[in-house]
Amino acid sequence: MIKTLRKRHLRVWIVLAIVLPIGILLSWLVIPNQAAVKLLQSHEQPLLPVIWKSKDLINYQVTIRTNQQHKQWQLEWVNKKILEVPSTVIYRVNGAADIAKNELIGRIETRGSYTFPLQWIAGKEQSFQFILYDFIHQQIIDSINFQL
Amino acid sequence: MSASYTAVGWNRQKKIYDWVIAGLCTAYLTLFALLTLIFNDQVTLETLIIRSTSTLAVLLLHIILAIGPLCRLNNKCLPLLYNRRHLGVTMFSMALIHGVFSLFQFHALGNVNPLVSLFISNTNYSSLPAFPFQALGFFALFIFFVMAVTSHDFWLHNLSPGIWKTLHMFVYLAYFLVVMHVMLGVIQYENNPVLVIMIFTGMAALTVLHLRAAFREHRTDSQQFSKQLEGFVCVCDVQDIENGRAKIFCIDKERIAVYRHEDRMYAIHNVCKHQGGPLGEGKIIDGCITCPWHGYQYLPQNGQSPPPFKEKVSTYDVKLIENKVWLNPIPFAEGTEREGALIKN
Repeated sequence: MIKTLRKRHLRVWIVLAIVLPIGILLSWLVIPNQAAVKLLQSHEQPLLPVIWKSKDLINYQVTIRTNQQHKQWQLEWVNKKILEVPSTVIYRVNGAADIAKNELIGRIETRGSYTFPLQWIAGKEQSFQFILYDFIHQQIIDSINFQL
Repeated sequence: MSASYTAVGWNRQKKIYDWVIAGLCTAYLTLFALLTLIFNDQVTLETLIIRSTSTLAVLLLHIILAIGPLCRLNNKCLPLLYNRRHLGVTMFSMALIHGVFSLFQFHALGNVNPLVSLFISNTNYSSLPAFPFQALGFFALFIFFVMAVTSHDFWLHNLSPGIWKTLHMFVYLAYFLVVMHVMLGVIQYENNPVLVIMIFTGMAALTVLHLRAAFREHRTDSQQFSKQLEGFVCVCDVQDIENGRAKIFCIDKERIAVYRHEDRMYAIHNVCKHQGGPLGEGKIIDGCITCPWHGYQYLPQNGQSPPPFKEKVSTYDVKLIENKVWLNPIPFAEGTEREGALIKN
């Protein structure tokens, strides 16, 4: 190596010796305490025994489940095919004009079965209308409505 | 060393080097796959490929960046340097497989061009934990690509050593991008500190090695020689230099290699014309001073490469007075014949 190159290497490594530890330290400090995706539900939670209503569509099967007393409710979502949009979430429509202000149920990704608990307040008029929403491209992909 | 363009100037050493690289890479990938399948049998093939090639590429990058300073600190590491470019191309290949599979897995199934999706699916440039780390990996891969395609001596000659070296120094920027790609990517989803410790250890080891080598070189550059006589400088005793080897002296900011060959002492400029390798750290093979980096050769008496090669370096006058080696730091024109100083027994 010629002297100019040696000097250049030395300068570069002095800069890296300062910048790299700072970068690593800052990145380490901002690691979230919880997993970034909190809305994915595992299938391991037990399915409620009663199938209240079900819709079998081309890409997915959507089922509303409940228990014998109709006090607990579940949404069972089975992706038959890989979704074309990876950034897909399910909202339960509560009448809000802004989609983001509807009730966020969860996120679905690859092929498989997803189970999400549904809230049910006795005596209150409620719907089981869902929309599949691509939050990156901000587009409604599908709408599924169960008539009460 | 080749007189004309050849894709790869294969020789026995290069073949051994490449077989060792291929063997170690295969062993690593196999071991990674086995361990992953033991501890996580739900893993998909794509994920396995993405993870194994990425970790191997990062490991190879650390080894590549360590070879330079290791060779400057210890001559025994020089064989590692001989075919470092093939190691670099291997590292790029692993990084490319990682990049292509990641692009396919995370961006290819939508209705947007995967490369466009890579840049628009996450635009949180103002947030550190949500930073679009994939873009950092993309730019690092682009630098590795440019380095890999220009790694042949064809480009070294056509671009000139200065431009070529400058271009290849972008590896340090790529290294920074890779470290941040890992830190802002996979590590944000892992609670296990092992990955952070590994990256930090690698970075610390590289930094210490490079700075140690650089400061050692600085000491060589700062040598002071007190005895001077009629333009000559007393540099060492005759027996300080073993036959077929050299010592390097820095006088007036220039490094000069003083070689002992058979019964004479010769001095030539220390910088190889090929890639600036330190000729004084090489040895004499078949009567030629042989650069330790890539085997370029020069005759000790005139600094010329043996025909048909045309490389030339400067030569210097040496004389011996009472068992001391005296060197005149004023260079002769490149390729000038000097008879050397006769060693009297």
